[in-house]
Amino acid sequence: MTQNTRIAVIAIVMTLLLVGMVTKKQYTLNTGALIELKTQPIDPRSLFRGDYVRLSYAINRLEVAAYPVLKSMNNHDEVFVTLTNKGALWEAVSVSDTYPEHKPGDVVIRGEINQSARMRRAMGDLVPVRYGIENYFVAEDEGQVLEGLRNQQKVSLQIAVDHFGNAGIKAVLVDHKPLYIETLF
Amino acid sequence: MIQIAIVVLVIMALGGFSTRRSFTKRLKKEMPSWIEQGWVQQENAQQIIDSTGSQSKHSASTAFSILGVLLFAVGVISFIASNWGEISKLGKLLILFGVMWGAFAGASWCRNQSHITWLAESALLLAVMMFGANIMLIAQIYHIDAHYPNGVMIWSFGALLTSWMMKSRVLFVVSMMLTTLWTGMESFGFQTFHWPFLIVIALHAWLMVINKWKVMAHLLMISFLLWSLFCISSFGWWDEKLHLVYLVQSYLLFYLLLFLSGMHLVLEKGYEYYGELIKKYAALASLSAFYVLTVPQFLESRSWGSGGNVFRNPADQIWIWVTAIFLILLAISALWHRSKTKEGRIRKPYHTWGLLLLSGLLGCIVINLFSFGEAGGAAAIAFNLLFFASLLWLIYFGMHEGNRQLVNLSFVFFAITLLNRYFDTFWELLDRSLFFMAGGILVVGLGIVLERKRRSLMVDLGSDTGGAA
Repeated sequence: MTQNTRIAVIAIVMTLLLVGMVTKKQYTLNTGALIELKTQPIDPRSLFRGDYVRLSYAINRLEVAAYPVLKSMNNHDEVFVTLTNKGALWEAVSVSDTYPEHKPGDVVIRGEINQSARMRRAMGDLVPVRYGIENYFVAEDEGQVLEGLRNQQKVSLQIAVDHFGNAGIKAVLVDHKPLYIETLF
Repeated sequence: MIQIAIVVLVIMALGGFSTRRSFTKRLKKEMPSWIEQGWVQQENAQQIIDSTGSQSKHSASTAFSILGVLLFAVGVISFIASNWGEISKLGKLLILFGVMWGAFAGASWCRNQSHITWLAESALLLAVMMFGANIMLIAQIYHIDAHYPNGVMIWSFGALLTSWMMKSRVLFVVSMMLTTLWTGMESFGFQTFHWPFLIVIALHAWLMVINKWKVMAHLLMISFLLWSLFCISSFGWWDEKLHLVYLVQSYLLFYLLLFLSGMHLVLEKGYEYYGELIKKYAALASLSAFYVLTVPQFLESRSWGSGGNVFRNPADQIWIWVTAIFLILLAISALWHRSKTKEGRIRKPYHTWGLLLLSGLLGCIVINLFSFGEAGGAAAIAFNLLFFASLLWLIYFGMHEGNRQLVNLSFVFFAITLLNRYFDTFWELLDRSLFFMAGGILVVGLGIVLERKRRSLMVDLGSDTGGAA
């Protein structure tokens, strides 16, 4: 293999890895069922620029008393939460450690237990779960706008959930109307 | 992290430049005598000097071009960052991919130009830096909120792939640093025992050996020892502080096993350099862990629990199992080394003394597993005696194996421990002013005696190995 061919192979592999990141995300956004979750944003700064909003949902803290399966689960274990539509918003109805059978119309979202031994002691009966929809980047200073709307309890998120349970943020909603919509370009 | 990477890379490049320059100077000085001896032909002498001289110029150019590409990469990221709102998603992607592909194209072009071949390395570095920037910025553009250390892992994979395919030492360094960062993030951020690091470091070791990048072994060992320390966060020691003594004991056994691995490797043809290096780093790590075990207060491990001032309890079953596994591995390794040195008739008396010393230490560690903290004082006396005996053995071992770093290391630990014991013993017993005066005299005296002894040993070592002291 010549040096130029080697360089081309490296460039192609790196490009494929980067394109793969985008493709995986777009697959979820384009094929996923759309649900709406209430959120409370907080805004620490991004590593680069723009405002980086951390999002918190009710399904980020699941009660062991309501979902006993959580008791036997460990940090970083995969967890599947079945969500059902309650009015405009969606709420958890069951939790499982494998992808569950579910009623038509319900949606299963995949998460990861995010509970170290220290956190377990601090949170008691509540088990923290991450779904990969806890961060959202907006242009500089717009995070503060969201912060203001948060205080008025107006912000919710439209989430796309694909057949595997992977989730992605499709749109940021204010009063159930889109403020930001995610597109490929 | 980026700043540290820049500083390390530039220092390494400038270090290489300075070493090569001094090598050229030495060549110029020595060449006439080599010609006189008939070792080098007159007509070849100038060609040899010119060749190393031109490499030296390229090293300086490489150092500055590395600095240049790093600044350029930071500039591209800053440009996108400061125009985040104004540039569309497509625009950002075109810039990011464009710069990465441009760097690859530049590397390819430079490789084909005989006068700037050296610039290809910097262009490849730029491409890899842009790959990392692309991972982070694409994650930001598309709100990809995955397991965050994975981004660094993919970046490190890209650097390793480039290093492997293009035989690039600079990118090997980058890849090692990223791998260490990755394992640090996994260990501290998620408190998991990060075993995948071992696979990645094995790949690096393989790459290093096939390319004969011997000096990179230092980086590998530093990274490995850092990983071993990072692992502490996954053991949850803060939950059960009383188990810290047994954790340190286990670390000592692990590092001793590493030292023995170095001794094995020294016996393998072609791997002697790596064996010696592993021994040096493992000795440093072992002595550090052993030193902690010489502190009486640590061995007592008092804590203010619900029952008041309480000592540590004997070890739980988990620590007994961990110790047993290490003991078996150490015994197998030591006996295997013994049989290998017997076959080649290269076994020295100090190998047997080392084995006896190791047996004594292992015995002490086992007894300590079943002791209460009240026996910490007695355990400390035993560990101190063994520690000083080990230092003497290591000095002897280093002398006979021609390993001066081991001798120096032993002297440093000897001085530190002696001073520490002086503080432990006389802090309460002596009047403060007397304590400090006597301490001052002890430090000065110890410095003179140990340095004199060390120098005389170095001279002996130099005459034995034919090197300079």
